[in-house]
Amino acid sequence: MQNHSHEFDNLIGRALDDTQLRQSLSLLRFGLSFTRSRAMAELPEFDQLRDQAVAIKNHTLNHLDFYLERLEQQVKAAGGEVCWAVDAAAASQTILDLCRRHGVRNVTKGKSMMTEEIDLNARLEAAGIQVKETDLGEYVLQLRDEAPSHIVGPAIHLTVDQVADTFHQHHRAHGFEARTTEIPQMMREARTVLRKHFLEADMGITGANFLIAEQGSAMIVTNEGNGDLTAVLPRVHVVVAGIDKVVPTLEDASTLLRLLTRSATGQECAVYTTFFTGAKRSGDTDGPEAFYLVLVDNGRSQMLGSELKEMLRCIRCGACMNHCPVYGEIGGQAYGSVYPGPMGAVLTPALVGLERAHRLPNASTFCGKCEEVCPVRIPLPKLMRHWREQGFERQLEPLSFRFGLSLWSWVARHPPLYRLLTSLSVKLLNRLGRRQGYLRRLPLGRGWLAWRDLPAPQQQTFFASWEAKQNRGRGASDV
Amino acid sequence: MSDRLQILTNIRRSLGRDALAPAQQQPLEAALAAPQPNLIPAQTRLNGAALLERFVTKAEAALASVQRLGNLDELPAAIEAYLRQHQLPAALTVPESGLAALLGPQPLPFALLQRPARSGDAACLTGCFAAMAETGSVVLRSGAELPIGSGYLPDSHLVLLRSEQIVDCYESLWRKVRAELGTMPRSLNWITGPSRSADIGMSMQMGAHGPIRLHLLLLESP
Repeated sequence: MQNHSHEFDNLIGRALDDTQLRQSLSLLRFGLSFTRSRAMAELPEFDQLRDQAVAIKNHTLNHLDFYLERLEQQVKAAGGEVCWAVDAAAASQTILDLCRRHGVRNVTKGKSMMTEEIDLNARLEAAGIQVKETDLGEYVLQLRDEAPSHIVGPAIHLTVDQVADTFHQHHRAHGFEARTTEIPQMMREARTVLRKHFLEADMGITGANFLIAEQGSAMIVTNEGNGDLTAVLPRVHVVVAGIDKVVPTLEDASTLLRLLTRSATGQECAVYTTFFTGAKRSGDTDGPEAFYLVLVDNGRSQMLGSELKEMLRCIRCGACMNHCPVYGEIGGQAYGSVYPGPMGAVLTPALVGLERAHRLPNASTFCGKCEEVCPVRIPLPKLMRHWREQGFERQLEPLSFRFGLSLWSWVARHPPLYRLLTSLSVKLLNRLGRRQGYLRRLPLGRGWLAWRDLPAPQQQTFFASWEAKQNRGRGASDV
Repeated sequence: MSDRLQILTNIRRSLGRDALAPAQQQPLEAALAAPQPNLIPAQTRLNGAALLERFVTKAEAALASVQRLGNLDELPAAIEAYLRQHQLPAALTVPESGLAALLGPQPLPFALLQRPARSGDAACLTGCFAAMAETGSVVLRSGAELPIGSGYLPDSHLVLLRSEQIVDCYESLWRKVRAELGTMPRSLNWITGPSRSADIGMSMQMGAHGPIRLHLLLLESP
């Protein structure tokens, strides 16, 4: 997909006005965080596994060149070929070249955020190759010509009615005349239409959740089985993955897998967990004749030597966005990036440049929930703060923003003045909102109050309450 | 400079070092040559009846159906009953010749098609390489006997497994793979329940692309 992160502020406004989006997001927020915490409770070793996962990823990153070379060696030994791509353009060109080498006209794809990152579909389609997304969510988005809004459930922002309209429009050509909002029937329609594409495809393209250096394997996790049909039926199978996906052994992948499915959907295990290793072997009854692994860098080797190194531990579970209050209000498309939510706010500026994406890391209350739920303990608020500091230093923020921040920081460094101003404003806001308990209009407050009310503050500032509490404590001598 | 060299050079620059010297590679090589398990969840360390119970419980939780068989003679009747229960045509695709032979030369209460499964097949029976009690998964592998597509194309996938094929956890599967296969086959497929998706309206529905039903015929050793 094309990046639109520079339009973030406008896209936020549009998202907040979108009532259908807000309906879908409310389902997400309560559903996935609940299933995750239930799965966690059933695995007492969850936190120990997180520590081990951090150690596995850190070790791999510190020896990344070694493990990538071993991976390459093992893929070759299994009859596959490895292609390296420094950036997005090189990666999509590599895959286009593979299509030409094998005379490919029809491609099916499993869900892969990497192929979104390198904008692969546009490149292949421009060359006259038919590309069909087969993950149900991605399929709906491709029909609607929309970008994904979530890295696990890409169409999570759409209501059943919206999908029904899309199917009604596109499935008539396949003999499904009536519009239906019955989900089982909608699934049957998509199953029938996509089955034809699976059988016709010359090349299947999938991503990888993990690459296993020891064996040269690529592992994918799905619930639909589309990734398997994509990888097994066509005569060419291409796996596209970032260089950060490699882990040393099958045992290491197993540890990470236990965290991945629980953190993503709360499942103990996905329906389909598949390990692909090279091409069809002699004597095999099916499978692709040719197998390629395209390893994509696209900024990752630079991140390895920067403050953002820890971001390379990310296993793309989506837990940070499922728990993010900002994502929960605006959804994923507003971020204008393949990667939304807290992990996207850290990753996107590294991929497309801070000039384009500097607003993303500013969209956080730093509540810390993302770091708390991250299975590989990425300090997301710290990394977002890093980008904020960079953005401020490089003067990327609007003048009004920088002026406001400088003013606040000057006041904050003068405590008596700070206390005076805060106590005055608390009194004023309290008086304005006392009757209703909330405020609906304020000078300069439209950006906040257009979509939500502001609770009227307490009678006094935090400092004043604290002082009173301390005094009481001393008096009672039991605190 | 090739993309490969550029990426490796960048990685080394970021890590502040050159390519690892042989002496530095040696411990990494040793670890890869003899992979060690990390922490294995205690609840998965089971054997005997408890292992079997966990497998069945987890498979059913993943919405597979499980039928226990005392001996192989019960297999044809169990299949016939399953086909009838789901109002499927009295026909069964069996890709593996060894498995077809198990069903025997005796007259069967359904038609047996010994060939790879195709799109449109109502029911297909396969064996499996292993099963895991940790998650209730069955494990298929590609090879000369089994076309892996046969586990994905039919509407109903029936799997025959013997109780001694069940291992406790992921790590035990890797031990079995290394012992019996040496290296990974082209495709090793863990299957945990029937295909599903929640992509429409966040409502879970069975049968997205793969089988709508997964039925496990569990042959218990005496």
